[in-house]
Amino acid sequence: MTVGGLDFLSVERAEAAGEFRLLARSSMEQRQRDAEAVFAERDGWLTAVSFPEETAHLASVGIADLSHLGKLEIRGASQPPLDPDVVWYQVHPERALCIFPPGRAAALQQGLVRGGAHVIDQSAGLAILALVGPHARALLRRLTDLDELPASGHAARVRADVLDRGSGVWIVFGQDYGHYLWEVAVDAAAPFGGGPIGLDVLEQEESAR
Amino acid sequence: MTRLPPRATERLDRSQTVAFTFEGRTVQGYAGDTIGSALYAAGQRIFSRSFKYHRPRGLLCCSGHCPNCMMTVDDVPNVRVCAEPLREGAAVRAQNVIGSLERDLLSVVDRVAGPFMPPGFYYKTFIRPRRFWPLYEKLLRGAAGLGRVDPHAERTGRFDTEDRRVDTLVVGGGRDGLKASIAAASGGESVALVDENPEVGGSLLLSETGVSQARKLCEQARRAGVDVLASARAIGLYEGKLVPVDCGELLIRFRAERVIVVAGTAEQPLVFPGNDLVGVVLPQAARRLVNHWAVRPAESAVVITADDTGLEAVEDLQAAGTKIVAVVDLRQREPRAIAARGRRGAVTAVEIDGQRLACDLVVASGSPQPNYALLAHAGAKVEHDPARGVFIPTELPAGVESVGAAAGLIGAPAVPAASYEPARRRPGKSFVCLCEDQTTKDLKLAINEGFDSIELSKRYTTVTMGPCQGRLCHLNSIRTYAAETASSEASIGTTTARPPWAPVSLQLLAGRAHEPARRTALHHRHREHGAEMIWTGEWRRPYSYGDPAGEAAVVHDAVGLIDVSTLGKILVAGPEAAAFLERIYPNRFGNMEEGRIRYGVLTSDAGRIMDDGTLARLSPNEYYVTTTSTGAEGVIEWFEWWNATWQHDVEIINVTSALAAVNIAGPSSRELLGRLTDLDVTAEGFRYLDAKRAYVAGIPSLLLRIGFVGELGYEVHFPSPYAVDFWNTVLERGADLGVDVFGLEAQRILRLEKAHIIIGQDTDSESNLLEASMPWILKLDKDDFVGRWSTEHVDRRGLMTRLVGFEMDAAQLPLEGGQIVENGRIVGRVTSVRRSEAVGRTIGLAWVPAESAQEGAEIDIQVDGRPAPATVTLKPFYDAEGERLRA
Repeated sequence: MTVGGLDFLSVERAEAAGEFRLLARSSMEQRQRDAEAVFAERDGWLTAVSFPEETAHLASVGIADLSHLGKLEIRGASQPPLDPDVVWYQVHPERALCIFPPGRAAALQQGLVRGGAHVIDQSAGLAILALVGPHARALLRRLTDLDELPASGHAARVRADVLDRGSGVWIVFGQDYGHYLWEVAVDAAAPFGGGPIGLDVLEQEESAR
Repeated sequence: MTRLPPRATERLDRSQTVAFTFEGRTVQGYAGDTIGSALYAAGQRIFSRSFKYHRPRGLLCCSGHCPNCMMTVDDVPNVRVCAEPLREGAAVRAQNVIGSLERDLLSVVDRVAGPFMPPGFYYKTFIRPRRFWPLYEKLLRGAAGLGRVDPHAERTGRFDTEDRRVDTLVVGGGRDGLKASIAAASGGESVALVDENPEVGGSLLLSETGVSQARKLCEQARRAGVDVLASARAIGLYEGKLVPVDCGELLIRFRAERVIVVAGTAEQPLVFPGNDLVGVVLPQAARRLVNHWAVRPAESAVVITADDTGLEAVEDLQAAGTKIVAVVDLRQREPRAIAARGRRGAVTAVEIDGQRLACDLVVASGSPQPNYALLAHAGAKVEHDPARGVFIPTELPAGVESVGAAAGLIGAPAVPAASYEPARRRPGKSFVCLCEDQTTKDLKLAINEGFDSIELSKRYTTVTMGPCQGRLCHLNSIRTYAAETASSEASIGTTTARPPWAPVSLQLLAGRAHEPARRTALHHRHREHGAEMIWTGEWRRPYSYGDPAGEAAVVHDAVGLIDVSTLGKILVAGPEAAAFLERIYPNRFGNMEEGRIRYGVLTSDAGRIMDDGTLARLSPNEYYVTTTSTGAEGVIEWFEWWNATWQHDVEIINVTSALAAVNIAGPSSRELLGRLTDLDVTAEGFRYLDAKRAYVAGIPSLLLRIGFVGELGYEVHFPSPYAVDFWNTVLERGADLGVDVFGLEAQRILRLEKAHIIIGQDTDSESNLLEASMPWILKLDKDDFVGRWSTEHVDRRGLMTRLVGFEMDAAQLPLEGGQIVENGRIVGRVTSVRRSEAVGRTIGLAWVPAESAQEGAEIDIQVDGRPAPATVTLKPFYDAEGERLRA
């Protein structure tokens, strides 16, 4: 096993790690533990799959951690892959953000590089908060002045990209702000009766839609 | 009780009583009451004492605009109780009184001190002896003013901020506002309507038919999709059509394509002696008391009015059983003199041209002034209309509109006189500004003293600067100025309208505090280790784990582990990456071998040191650049700024968040690393300043063999989601080697032993490479680079100061920032200092005169106010030859 190129940025490349037991962790893990989350391993990540009272939260606004999704930063002109599971945000003509299910970074990266783009795996660097439910937009308005989505700017004074995702919105930001932004979002959701939700109930919600 | 039988227009829920305390005694009102209406219904007539003279003041506007009803509610000062909804258990207290509202000790000021308190009296009569000014100031502040703010108070509630965008924002929810919002929404626009009152409808709500009309319009608006927000006060109209709206505990920052201001008018008081007596009210106050809160305002009333609002008040007062003693319609007859008479501050009669009319209520109304302030904030022109005696907004900026009375559609009111004072005898004070207790006499004095412009007068007399923000005094002050200077109101003009249009609490403006904190992926492991965390920029970092000296010793003797994930990490990639770095750094990178590392210092175009870090060449076209922990964003901006000009074919990518970084340092670090990776970590296989890629503990990593802390060491950079596993594994596999964690303080001791500088601590905005003793960084034989000219200039003019090491007796410990002294003069300063157990001395870095920068030179450093001897050294204090580092 060798590490070449920019493999040292890749979360995926740690999969065949041999004697060492590895689990990728979100920067929000500790706050989720404090909120009594139940965790499960998915795609090499330790993910919060449920929280107390999450159904009630979802009826207002639920906050879910999607940091385990893969993310690529694309520099240079590029075309989004024809893949329904890929979320593509064209930040400007020469820059894009690509978000996709975990485990597919290398394949997507290869395809995009072939197209001439400069591609960086930011799966480790970016965190994602999903705001879901009828008050998702109202909560977003308490975190950012970004309105017409997708858009880039700031959320709770942290540099962020905000994407419209059907049942809610995604806030994409540097993972080292994860603890802070989780705290701010959960606090801002409280007046609406919202709070954290796990991946299980989020997936059920998405499939019901 | 003066409560009337139930009325169709009332806001009360009489099935629900609400109890609260006023000055400690229990008072009852109904749900739907305001605190003011409940107190009035309970017989309270004096609501406050005035700002300067401590005169009794009662309800005047009942709209939340004037200062007359400001009280302290639940320890929050300056609450206008006429508009504050009544709530169970509220504790209401008078403010700005010594004694009680009825018997205020400071009212003596009104009786005896008036002549001594002209405008700006505190500049005239309280200036000598000058040393007493702090005492005067304390006394004046205690005697005058509004409620008291508790400097130690906690937040009284939760305050949020929300950003919203709409196509059209309508400010004002009267009939015209509702219609404008419906029209806009019907055209497919997203529309929000905000109104400061608890229910939209404006003056419609003062009549039975109007109430049903208002509710129908409101329903129609909601059906059309208008977001109707009541108890929502627009406090300004800023550039970009930003309108902050005060919704109590929520501040909404609206941004709209179009703002329609339908804010109606502000009723204007008439100016005559005794116009501030309790019982002198504006028409809306009388009408609201009757219609909204079913209170009979008085037994008998005299109405003096410039327009129909007074006549409407007459109808309501009559319906409430108040005897109308006289009605003076200024459109038909203008008296020469009016004076209100009172007893104990409350009106008992009014004299009109010498005719005395007994009454306990005077409804007085000058012409209604369109509320143009928000329009003026946006840049609208405001012009005087001599026919109606008011100022009208004209020439609205693009995207800002006005409808209804706010636009000037106010009919044809009479133009009242500037004042109705009797020509000879003046039976009392005529107030122009109730907030600041300024009378006609005060304004005339200001004019005589030379403050003949309305803007200067505003600053001198403070008229319009009080809580009403000019709503009730601006027009009258202009009229007074025009009359006194024999000029027109148009030539006097208005003062500049500035937000906020209405008082707003600082808690609301502050909102929910958002203070971003960056935490490394190991943050919680540090806490578990017992770390004391500190801020470094936005980062939270472990200062120490309890024993900095012990932590440093572990690095010298065994192997230590420090989290350096906070380092800025930047990829510079592309065919011209080397050319770009050659041009932006003073040292050379184009000739670096692949897999090697070089130290780099960034300088500004003025040659000043900005940041430092290492650069590793990963491939011919790829460099991995590290920066200081707080410097990453600045360095990236710097790179991008220059490349916007140079247009090199290079990508600059911030990977700071993506990578955790851990420094494994100490004589046993090689052995420990060898247990975690298949990489050849021998001294030959992995040389000092090598960069290699390999799996470490199963994680794809970039390894940099560098040594900020001066011992054999490796910085391992890897995907941050694996940081906890990496950290745990290293501690577990190195347990038998004595591995332990160390924090920032230990790192500072260790780097100081090596005389490694910290940018920002050992350098400042004036430091350059030559004087910072880093001439070896400069490569003057290469092409131009940022800061070259300035650095060469320093070289030509000669060095004036130098950054050097010093050591002294371990018993001495100067302060960082302490002075280097020579013959009693300060000639330099200490930037870093620590006691080093490894060196057995106190060591540090200091800026000294260039002539003192010689090995073994003696200098004096102030310690506890006395000079203490120290010796200059130009070499590292520890492992001077770098043998341990390069082992």
